[in-house]
Amino acid sequence: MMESKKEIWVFAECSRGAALPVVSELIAKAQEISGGIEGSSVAAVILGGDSAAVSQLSGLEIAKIYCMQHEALKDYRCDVYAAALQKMVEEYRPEYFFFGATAMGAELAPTTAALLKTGLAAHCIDLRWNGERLNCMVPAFGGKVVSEIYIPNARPIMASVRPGILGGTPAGRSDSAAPELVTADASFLGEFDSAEEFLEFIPSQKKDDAVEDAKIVVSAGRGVSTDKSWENVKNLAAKLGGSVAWSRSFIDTGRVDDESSMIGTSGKALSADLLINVGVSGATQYTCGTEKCKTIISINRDPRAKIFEHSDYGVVGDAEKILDAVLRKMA
Amino acid sequence: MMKIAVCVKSVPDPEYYEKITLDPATKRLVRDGIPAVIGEADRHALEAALALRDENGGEITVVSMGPPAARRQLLEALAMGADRAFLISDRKVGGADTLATSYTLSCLLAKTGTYDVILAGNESADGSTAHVPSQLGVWMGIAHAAGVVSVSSDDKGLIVTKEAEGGLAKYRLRTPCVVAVTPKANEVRFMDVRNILAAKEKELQVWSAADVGNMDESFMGLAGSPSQNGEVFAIESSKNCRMLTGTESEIADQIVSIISGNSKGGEEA
Repeated sequence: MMESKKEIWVFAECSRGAALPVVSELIAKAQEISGGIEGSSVAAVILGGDSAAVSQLSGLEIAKIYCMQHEALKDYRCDVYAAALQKMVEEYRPEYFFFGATAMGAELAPTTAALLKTGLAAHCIDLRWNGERLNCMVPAFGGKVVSEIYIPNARPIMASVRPGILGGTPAGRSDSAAPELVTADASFLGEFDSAEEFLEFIPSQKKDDAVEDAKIVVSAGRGVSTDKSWENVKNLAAKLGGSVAWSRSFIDTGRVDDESSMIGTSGKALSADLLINVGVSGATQYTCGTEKCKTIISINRDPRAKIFEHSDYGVVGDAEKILDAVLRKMA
Repeated sequence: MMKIAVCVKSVPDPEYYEKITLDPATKRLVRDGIPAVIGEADRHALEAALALRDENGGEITVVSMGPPAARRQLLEALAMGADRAFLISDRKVGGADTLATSYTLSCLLAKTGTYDVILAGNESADGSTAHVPSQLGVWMGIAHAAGVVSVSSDDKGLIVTKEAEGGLAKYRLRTPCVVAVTPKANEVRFMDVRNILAAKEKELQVWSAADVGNMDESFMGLAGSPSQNGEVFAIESSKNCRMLTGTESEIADQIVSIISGNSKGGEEA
C-alpha cells in the first residue's frame, strides 16, 4: 500500500503516563484540517513510547501512532528528543507537524525546526486551512496584532499552539480498529553524544488546579493594592470554587511572585466560563489571555480602563468595597 | 576567565504597544514615534552575564542584528557593564524569520570570537517567538536551554534550571552552550555611573554582511526564511460592555446574579 504523502503529525507530549490536554486540542484541530485536505491523515508521535499514552490516543480517529522507544529518551533532554524527531521526520516525511507551546514544546519545536531547516510558527492561537495553504495565526506585540504566518516551500510545515486556546475535542474512532502503531528505529540513540545531563525535577508546590483549566477565575491586577482587597479576591475565588489568577503588574506589587497563574502573552490563556477581573487595567498583553472566556466582569476605579472593552459587565468603583458587598451577599 | 556573549534585540518599547495601529489601506503596522529599548528578557540575560563575570572573571561581548539605530541599545548594554558590542546591520539580513536570524547571529558570533557561554533573552517583546536561542544552538551545534530561571557554573559545565510541565527541571549543559534567560532568573542591577561614562570608550562595531564574511546568502534575510508573513490583523474585542451602576449593595446584587448565571438579560440599573 502507498504511504499517505500528507500526514499531519501531532507531537504527543506526555506527563506521568498521559498525553497533556493540549494534545487533544491539537488532534482535534489536525482532524479539522485533514478534513479539508484530500488524501491527508492524522498521526500522533510519542517519544519514550509510554503504553498508557498509546492506549489513551488509540481511541481517537487517527491513522497512526509513531513511537520511538529507547533508554536515552527516559528523561527529556532537548538535543536527544530533537534528534529523535528529526530522524522520524526524515524517515516518514510528514507534511505538517504541530506542537503544544508548553515549556517543552517551546524549546523542542524550534530546535527540531532548525535541524530540519524548516519554518515554525510560534505560539499560534489558531491554525486555518483556507483551501490553498495553512495560515498559522501568530500574535505579536503583546497580542495587539495577529499575523498570518505560512510556510510556502519548506516541509514539514511546523507550528506550536498555545495550550488552552483551541479548545475542541478530538473525534473518537467510529470503528473498532486501532490506529496503526509504527515503531521508529531508535538504534542511533545508542551512540548519541548528548551535551545535556538531566539532574533533577523539582515539582511546583502548587496543587493541580491549573488556572488555564478552571471554569471560574478571579483575577487580580495592580488595583488590588490592599491586604483586604487581596483577601477578598482569594475569598471570592474560594467561595465560587474557582481559581485565583493575576496580571503581570500584580506580580510587581510583591503580593505574589510566581507566574504559574499569570494571565497573558507570556503567561496563561484562560478558557473560563466566568472571569472576574479586579483592578486589572487591561493591557493588550493581558487581554489576549482572556479572549476565550465566556462571561467577563471587570471592576476598576478608572472608567476609561481598557479592560472594559474586553468585558461583558463593568463596574467603576472601589474593588475592596464592592467585593466586600458581594461576599456579604454570598455568605 | 569566562568568555560570555549576550544576544540582545532592539525592540519597540512594550509600554507603547497600545499605540500601534494597522494602516487599513496598506495593511502594515504603524509604529511611528515608538522608542526602541533593549527587551526585558535581554536585560536579564545581560544581568546573568554580569553575575557570571563577577564570579568567574572574563569578558562580555554583546551581539545584535538590527537597523543602524540599534547601536543605541548596544551602547546601553555597554553602559550596563558589557565589554564590547557588535551589530550586524544590512538589508541582506532584513526580513528574516527566526531561522535566518539565528543563522545570522551564529555567523556574527563566530566572527567575533569563541565563547564559553552565550546568553539571550528567552523571548523578544515584539515577536515573542522564543525560537532564536534554541535555533542559534542548533546552528552552532552546541547545547542550549530555553525558559531558564536560574543559571550558575561548576567545573563540569553550566547548571541551568528551566521551566517544565508541573515544575522545574535542572540540567548540566556542556560548554559552550546557549542559555535563554527569563525575567525570573535575576534582578537587574542598577547601572553604575562609571560604566555609563566608560561606555563610549568601549569597542562598538557596526558591520555589514560582507564585513562578517563567510555567510551563505541562502540562509540569510527574507530569502533564507522558510516562514513568510501573510496578512496582519488588529485584535478587536467582540465584547459589548454593560456598565453596572447603583450603590455598592445594588452592584453587588447584580454581580451575584450574573455569577449565578441568570442575569444575561437582567434589567438595566
